[in-house]
Amino acid sequence: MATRTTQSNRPVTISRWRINAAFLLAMLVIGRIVLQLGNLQVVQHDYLSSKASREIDRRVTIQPRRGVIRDSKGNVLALDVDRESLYVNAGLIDQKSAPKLALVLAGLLGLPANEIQARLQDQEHYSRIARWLEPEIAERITSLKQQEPETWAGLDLVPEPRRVYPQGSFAAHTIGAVNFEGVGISGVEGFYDTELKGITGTITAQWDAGNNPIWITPPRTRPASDGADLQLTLDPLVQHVIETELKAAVDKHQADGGTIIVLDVKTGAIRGMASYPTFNPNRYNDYKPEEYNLNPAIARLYEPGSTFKIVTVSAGLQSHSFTTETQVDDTGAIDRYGWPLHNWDSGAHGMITPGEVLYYSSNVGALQFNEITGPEKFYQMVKAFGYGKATGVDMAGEGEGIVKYPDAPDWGPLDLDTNAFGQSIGVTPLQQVRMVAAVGNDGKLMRPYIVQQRCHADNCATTQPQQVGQPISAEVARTIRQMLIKSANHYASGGPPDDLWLVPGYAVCAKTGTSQIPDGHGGYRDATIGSVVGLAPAENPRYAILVKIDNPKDDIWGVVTALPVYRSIAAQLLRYERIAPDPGMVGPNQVAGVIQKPEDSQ
Amino acid sequence: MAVNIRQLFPLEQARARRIELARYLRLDGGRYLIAAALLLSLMSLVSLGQTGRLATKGYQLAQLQSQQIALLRERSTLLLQLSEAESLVTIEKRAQALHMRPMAPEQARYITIAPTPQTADKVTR
Repeated sequence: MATRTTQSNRPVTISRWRINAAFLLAMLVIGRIVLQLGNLQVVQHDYLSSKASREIDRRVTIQPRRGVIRDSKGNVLALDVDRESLYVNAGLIDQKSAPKLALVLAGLLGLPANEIQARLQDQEHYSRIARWLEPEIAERITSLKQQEPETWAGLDLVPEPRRVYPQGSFAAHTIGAVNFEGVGISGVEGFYDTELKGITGTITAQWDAGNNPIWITPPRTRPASDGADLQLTLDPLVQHVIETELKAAVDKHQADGGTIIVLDVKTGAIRGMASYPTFNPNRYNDYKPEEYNLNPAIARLYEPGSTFKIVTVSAGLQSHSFTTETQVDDTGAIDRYGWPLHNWDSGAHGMITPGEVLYYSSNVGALQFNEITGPEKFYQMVKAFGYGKATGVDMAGEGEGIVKYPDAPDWGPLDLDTNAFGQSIGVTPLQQVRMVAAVGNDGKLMRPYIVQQRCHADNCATTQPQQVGQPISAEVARTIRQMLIKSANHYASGGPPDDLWLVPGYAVCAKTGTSQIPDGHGGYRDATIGSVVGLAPAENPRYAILVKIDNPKDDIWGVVTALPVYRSIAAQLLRYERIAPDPGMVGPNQVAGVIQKPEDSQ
Repeated sequence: MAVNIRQLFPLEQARARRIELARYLRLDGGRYLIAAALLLSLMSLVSLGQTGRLATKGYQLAQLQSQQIALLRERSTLLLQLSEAESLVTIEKRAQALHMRPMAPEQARYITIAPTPQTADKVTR
């Protein structure tokens, strides 16, 4: 800036109009800003805030985790695992490369290429191509997305929970299955579905483009409550043994199927429950509904045959209608109300006691003792043992059985006679094994149960054994057990007096039965069910066991089809319980704990 | 608006006036306005800072939750592998592959251990 060296008294002035103009311009700009702010923040407040809210405010559901199911040793039987499902947003797919993409995916997924291509070209929907991919396939697709991001844009891998049964068909009927909508449809999964699936939660928040909640306005969360974890009473070794034995027996005798149940005598806990044919709950939809929806052990009725004679003898002894020394004349065959009734071999045994009714499995003897007992006391005992109603086991689909009581309009006195040897009455396998468990438990009838413990986080509720009745006294129970030991050993030898031991080294109880299968029209099919019920060991029993083989093709008799299975299972369970054999309970040519197979003795 | 037109003094006097600091503080009523504006700005800065920190914490929380979900998924996968390995069918196959055979019943030996006084006492209690 130039400066004058000489002093000057002329004043420096600023024009008023320049200042006014600058001021006016500033006011115009500020005014415009204020007006626009007012328009946005006041006039359009409601509209703009609702528009923003629609974009960023969302309520998202929090899915709970379905509870884990374990066996009594803690091994996992069912759990939820996240598996990735492949979705496509066709709008982001380069349609020129869609056919090539479809071919690659068809090879990976095993699906038709044309179906995949149709999804890739459907720009109106965000659709799923494949659900629950195996981890290897999901990894392969992830790797391809990383290698060619432009080609694979629009394909998303979304994790979705899937119910997985890591042990396949192990205890399948007992555990049940969950359908593709996550609903339990059978077994424990069905019965405990509400507890297993938990409670859905929600989170209401403002979300950014990356689906992260924006915490400027804190989210409102209602947390999800995960489902309860269940621990079953199933013993994995017991279950494995009975499944192996059952499959072998059904295959050997070309039977239609079968059931084995092992019950804890003292508590009613189900240690093993197997039915064959079985199914894989991981692929339940590959099977017919009656195969995965129905547990034969608790739902399928059958006539128990001679195993029901235990009830017949119990009724008479408990009601003091006869004693252990009372005798009736077993003539091998007898006429009642115009119907011929006979023993299984039509053989006569002369004067026999109740114990010998079980020993010889005499139908004629049983019906005569039942006539002594009378219908009132007999059916009182039938009711006391829980027949004709559900046991209350905690599994879906239990049957009640069919019992014709004297007050039924179609009951006749012939029913008393046929019921004596287990015909004209329908029971479930679980009812039958529970009956013999009561005999082993000094007459106490227990409610069977399959879930040992239910845990929500750290809060666990343990099922307590529940006694639901006392059909017979401890003394009668002990007496019947002694009879059943003799009955069991009778099968090992084929006749007195040189009875061997059914399981050498151990006293076990057993009673076989062979019954015809009703045809649904009042008659019977040309097919039978062979069964056996028993206790191992006989004194202070640990296990009540039922084996049932349906319609074996090579031999109709339970003593041939079901009894060897029972022997083998009893021997293995007694070893598992570390019960030492008694050298005094070993017959000639027998080795303690060794079951001699029929072919070994030839 | 009134405008004062004054004669500007010569340069030396202008310099002297410039370094007279007290002059700058003679704002009269304007000082209160400036103070209010400063206070408001400070509060806005603090609020902005808090909001920013809150949003950052929120994102960190979301990241931790994602990590938790990923770990839970991994746990489920490991649990699945463990249960498959623990199945008796698998163990049986592996045992047979290692040339093991099931124990024969006649190979079992039973030893009865008599209870000691201490164990007998515990049982009694």
